[in-house]
Amino acid sequence: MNLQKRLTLAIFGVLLLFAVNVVTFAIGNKAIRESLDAASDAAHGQVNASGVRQELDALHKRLLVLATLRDSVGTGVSTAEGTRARGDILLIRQRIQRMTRNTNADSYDAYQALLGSAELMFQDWDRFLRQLRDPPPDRISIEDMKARYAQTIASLKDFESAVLAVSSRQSAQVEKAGRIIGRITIVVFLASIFLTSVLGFLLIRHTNESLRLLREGTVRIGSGALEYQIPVLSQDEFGQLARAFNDMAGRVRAAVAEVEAARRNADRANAAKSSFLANMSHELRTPLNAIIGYSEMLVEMTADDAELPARELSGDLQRIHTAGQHLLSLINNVLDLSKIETGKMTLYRESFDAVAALRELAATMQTLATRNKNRIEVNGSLDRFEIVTDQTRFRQIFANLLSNACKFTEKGVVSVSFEEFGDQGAQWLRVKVADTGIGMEREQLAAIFDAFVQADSSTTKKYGGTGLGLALSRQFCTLLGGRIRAESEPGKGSVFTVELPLDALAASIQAAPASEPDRAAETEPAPPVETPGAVSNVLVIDDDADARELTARALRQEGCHVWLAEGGKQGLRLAREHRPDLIVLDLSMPEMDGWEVLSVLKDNVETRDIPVVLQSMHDARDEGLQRGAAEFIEKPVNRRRLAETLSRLTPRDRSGHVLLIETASRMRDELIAELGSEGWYVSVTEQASEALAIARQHQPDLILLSLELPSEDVFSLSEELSRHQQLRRIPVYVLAGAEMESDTARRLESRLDKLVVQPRADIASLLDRVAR
Amino acid sequence: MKRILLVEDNEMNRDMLSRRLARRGYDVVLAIDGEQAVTLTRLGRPDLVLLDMDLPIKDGWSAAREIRASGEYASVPIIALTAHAMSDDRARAIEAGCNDYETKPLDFARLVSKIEALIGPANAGAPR
Repeated sequence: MNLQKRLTLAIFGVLLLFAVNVVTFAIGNKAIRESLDAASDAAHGQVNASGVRQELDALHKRLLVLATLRDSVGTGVSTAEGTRARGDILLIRQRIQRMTRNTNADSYDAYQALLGSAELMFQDWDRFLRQLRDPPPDRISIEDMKARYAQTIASLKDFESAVLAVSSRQSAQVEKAGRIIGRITIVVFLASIFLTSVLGFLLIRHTNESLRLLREGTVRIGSGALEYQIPVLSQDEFGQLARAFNDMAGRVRAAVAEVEAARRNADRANAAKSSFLANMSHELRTPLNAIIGYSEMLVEMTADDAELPARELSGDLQRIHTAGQHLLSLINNVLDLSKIETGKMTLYRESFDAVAALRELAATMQTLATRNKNRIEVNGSLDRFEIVTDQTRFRQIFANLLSNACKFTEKGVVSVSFEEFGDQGAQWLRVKVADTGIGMEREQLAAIFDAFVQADSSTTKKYGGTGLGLALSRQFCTLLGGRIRAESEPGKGSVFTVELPLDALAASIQAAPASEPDRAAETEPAPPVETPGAVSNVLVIDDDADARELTARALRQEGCHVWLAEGGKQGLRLAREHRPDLIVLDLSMPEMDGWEVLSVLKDNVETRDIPVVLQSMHDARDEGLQRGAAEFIEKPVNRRRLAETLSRLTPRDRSGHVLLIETASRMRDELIAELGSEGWYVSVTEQASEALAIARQHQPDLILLSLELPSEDVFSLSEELSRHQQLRRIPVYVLAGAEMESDTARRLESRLDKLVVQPRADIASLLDRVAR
Repeated sequence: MKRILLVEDNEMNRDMLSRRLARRGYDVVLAIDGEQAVTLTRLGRPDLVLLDMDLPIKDGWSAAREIRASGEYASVPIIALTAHAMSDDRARAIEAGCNDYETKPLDFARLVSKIEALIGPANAGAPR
């Protein structure tokens, strides 16, 4: 009950008591008045009765005198006297009759008796008065008259005493009623006071208690005891307030718990990162130890024995190489993860046969499998499964899963199985990598996909690894629009299931740049001379797919690499990422229009210097040029106009990037100097592996490859380049001696899309062509 | 000829280090885990133990403690090797009973000087 109701009820109770008082008083008053009326009637009755008695007494005496006269004088009594007396009798009779007003139930009988005896007396008196002159024998005797009178007076006295009794009884009643009313009034009054004070006291006590609890509670909650609950005494406003405070404390508690959990998570992540760094350090030091150790030893050995055949060193060199490769893969893993975490991982869509890729991976894992005496099985009902996704990441996912399976299994079976299935109207590929190895506990299973976490730290010691492989695999799966999950039972093995969409059309995946010319080159190889040298990279931003494709095609025909963006945001991202040589920008786009994109491009230091060509149906040349655009072209696109603009805005003497792979020599130095003077930025290396790293990282515009390198290196490099979608498109000029073997050329050609064999002697014409 | 027990689980590092020590004229006995380390210390009576700390089956710290608690060969000098470069690793190794501590990648010359300080140079005339 709330406070308002309580107060209302208390006031109502007091009012009710007062009402009782008033009603009692009214009733009592009425009773008193009635009693008083009765008493006054009785008093009047008495007065009348005594008056009547005196008058009767006087008349009686007069009549006695008359009778005496009659008896003594005989007939001498005058009739006038008799007439007067009869008038008096009438008056007295009326007066007695009027006394009926002064009677009540108690005096009624006495009054009737009086009436009866008085009537008899009056009849006697009347006869007496009429017989005054009658002869004596018929006369009424004086004795009879006296007797009648005495009888009447007695009745009158009876009546008087009855009236008196009534009167005294009524006054007693008045007194009693007055007493009762007084008592009731006092009692009710006292009860009112008592009730009011009790209610007031209770109210004050309740209020005080509630306020005290609230104050105590808020102080406790305020001082941090968030689990404290303020006792709810009642359902009134205080109770509601207490409950509101409790709710608030609960909510604050939940929020604090959330923050606490977040902090713990952050701490855990931090601790995981620290332990990851320590692990990383350990993991990096182990191969470094081998590299430094072996190389030092080789230096010693060659110093000791100048004649030592190089063949004897090759085993150790191979070990150094292996350790170096291991180191590189560790670093690449870390870089990949970092790229994903900072959102800088770029994915490329390409179509390939997933089944073939899986079989190939399984084959390359064979060495690793045999180390632990494992067998790899590939099962699947599909012969072929064309998938459109990022091939490099696809391979990485399964390479990780397979190498893990091989590592954690001994004398067992590692099986790869795949199937096609439909989900949400799309086709998916499901690949299961199962092993019969050590398996994992449930808790381990829960954490294996987290970065920096290995099943447990002892695993690191026993099996090595950075604990990044699965984290990377999961990240890649997510990036490719798919998912990965793991099931495991300790001692029985683990099953990793990867599900990838047939076509990863997720917006995050962009079309592989210049994939179309690549394919065109596969089907109808163009004569090498026609391959453009330093090509321009152009970004086309247009929301209309047809217009975008039209522009792109025109640009590709001009030998440009084209990136496509469907909107302003994507366009800005690609511009920042790839720093194209030119941006073709449509003005009317939803969400972010061309003007907005232009102003962002021009405000950004990274993109400020990239020339922007505006495209629109409506002429906006002046405004466009004013706002910093380099050119304006009206739609629909005129190919020649676009080509002119392109050649004007992307001069060929821009500083392109060339990767030169050649052993140190005077000729090499000359070539570097010449390339530099032509405005090229030159990276130089003698090592095929380093070349690949540079190519991956910087994506040069051109690769110059010397055939003076060991031929195995040349082939492995070309192999690696061809595997890489982005690297495959880089034109490779092979600097050959005049006598380059034709089968070497064929082997290279079969791998590289854009291969130009350049006789070493004719460097000048090469530079000329490159410059074009 | 001084005999060194090399305990190392990484195949490549084991091969490299054992050959380099052999070139310095030491007789090298190999063990690949902590348990073997303890057994071979007892059976092989090496003059010195080079003990990697991250070992399977039984880690280096446990192996060192066990060797120190073993009785007659308890005094064999032990140099701990580890790829963990945290400062408390050294303290932990010394606490486990190792005489000295080296971090990977190894400074071979320094390692050799430490070995020589503990057990003297390998016999003269050994093949270098």
